[in-house]
Amino acid sequence: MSNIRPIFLIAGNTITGTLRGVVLNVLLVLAALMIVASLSTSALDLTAARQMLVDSGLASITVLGALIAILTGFTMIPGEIESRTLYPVLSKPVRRWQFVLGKFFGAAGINAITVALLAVLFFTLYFIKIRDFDIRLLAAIGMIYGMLLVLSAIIIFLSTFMSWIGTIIVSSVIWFIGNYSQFLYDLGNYHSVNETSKLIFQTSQKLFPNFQAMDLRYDIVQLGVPAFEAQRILVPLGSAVIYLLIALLLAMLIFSYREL
Amino acid sequence: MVATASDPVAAHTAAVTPVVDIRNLSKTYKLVLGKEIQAVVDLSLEIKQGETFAIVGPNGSGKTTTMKMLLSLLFPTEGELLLFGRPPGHPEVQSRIGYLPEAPYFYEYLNGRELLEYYGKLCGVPSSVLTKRIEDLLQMVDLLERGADMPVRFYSRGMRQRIGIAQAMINNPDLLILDEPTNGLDPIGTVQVRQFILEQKKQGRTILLCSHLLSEVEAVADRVAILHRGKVLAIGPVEELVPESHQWELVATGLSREAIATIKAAGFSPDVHGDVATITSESQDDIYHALGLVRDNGGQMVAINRPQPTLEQQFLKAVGEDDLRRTVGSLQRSAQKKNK
Repeated sequence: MSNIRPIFLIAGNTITGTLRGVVLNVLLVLAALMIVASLSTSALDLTAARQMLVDSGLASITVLGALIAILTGFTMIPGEIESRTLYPVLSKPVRRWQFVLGKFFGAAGINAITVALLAVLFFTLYFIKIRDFDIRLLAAIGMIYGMLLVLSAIIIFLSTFMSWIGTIIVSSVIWFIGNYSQFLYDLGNYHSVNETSKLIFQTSQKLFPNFQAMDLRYDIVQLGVPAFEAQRILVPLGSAVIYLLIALLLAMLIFSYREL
Repeated sequence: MVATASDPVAAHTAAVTPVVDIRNLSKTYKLVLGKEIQAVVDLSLEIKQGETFAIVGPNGSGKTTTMKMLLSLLFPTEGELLLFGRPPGHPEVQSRIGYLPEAPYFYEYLNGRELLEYYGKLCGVPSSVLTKRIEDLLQMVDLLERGADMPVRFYSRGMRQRIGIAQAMINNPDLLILDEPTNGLDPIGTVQVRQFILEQKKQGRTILLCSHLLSEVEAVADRVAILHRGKVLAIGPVEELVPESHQWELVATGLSREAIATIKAAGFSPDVHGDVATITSESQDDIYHALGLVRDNGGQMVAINRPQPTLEQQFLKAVGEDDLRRTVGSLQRSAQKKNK
């Protein structure tokens, strides 16, 4: 219990700091405006309107959630080192791994607030327009939250040894590549691509987290699956959990040996 | 580890185990292109329970590096470092330490009370104790009326230093590590910090102090280590580092040129500034002889003093001698290279 308490105290303080800061609030207002704007364009018949709403709504939550995760996450550890707020904390009975986990759970809390607020807005607009509630959308939003958790773990991992600018760039690249995982897979198996390129594409596809597999928009909008099979959810979720754990373990290990 | 009357062995161990035990500690920073900087070189010192120990030294002397190693923020290249008989960084060790960093920065979005609550909870202080302790500490650092409910971003430098002292005390520590505690404080604040240190000393707390203000150190420290370029130049009790004066000093005025010449002819070397002449000697009899000469030649005595050397003078002397040694060494090495 004494090992867990500092983690949640640090997480709580991280969430408080982000909520009382300007960045998250400005981004949330912008995100809300973008969602309202994107959803208000839907017209046409009910089916087309539903497809457009789901597609643009979920895409907005994904992209804006990632943007908020990156912009609030990249300073979490480097910011504490630069401002020296870390020193009084680590002079207390707090282990470095607890600090890293505290920061991750803080990021997870911020992601939860972001996704919850945007989801409430999305569902409200969806209900006003369609007069319906689609349970599949909840699963899709749950998977978006899973993606953001993996992204946050990557950001925390990178920020234990990189500058903040490096963390922003590399985490954005990983996010981008992860969202085009299927494209990389296809390129890696394309017959006219040479062997070296194939190897690069295949390795990249396996090395980076497969965010695309966690995106359920295509299943809902294009394939129109009535309900998700457990496998469709659990397989990408399982690989996301493994990825997240590896990123956090490496972050804790690197930060434990880092000179401050 | 709290020693109790029922456990005399633990009580004895606690009493004889140094609170801080540093043995042959070295820290080398590796730079690019294989270059290295030796921040701390073969440092050994012990701080006993209840002692107020000060580390003084110019910028870059290795004070902060040493403190960071004590807090496990940096790792030694060589040597051993124990706090309460354990390596630094262990939660049991950390829970007995209070640390005030140099120019402390705290979470700007928290107010004074929230900040102390956060650090108190991190230290595992029970909620039943914490609320009262926060109020007492805010009172002690004079932030209860103005500052307790104000976000830290609106704090002045002095207020930040005071809330820093309060957070260092939140866990009722056995060892207080204070890095430049009077940094940025006005004279009243400086006196308050001095009183605070003396009060903690009276309560038997062990204090490790790091400061540039040698007069402050002299007023509160039991022992002092003078650090320069990572090495200990001198270490010992303040009264040993600042030896008792054997000098006598006669300050006189109203002496003519002829009178000064007569005094010089008697074997004295008066230091004359305008109308004031200062005559120094190691012999009290000589000073009285000089006083007779002053009076016989129409001068008046202003004072007879025994000027006490200060820690600052000893510090400058030690650092100056070290710099001189290094310069001579460096010149000799260059000369040897040229000769080769």
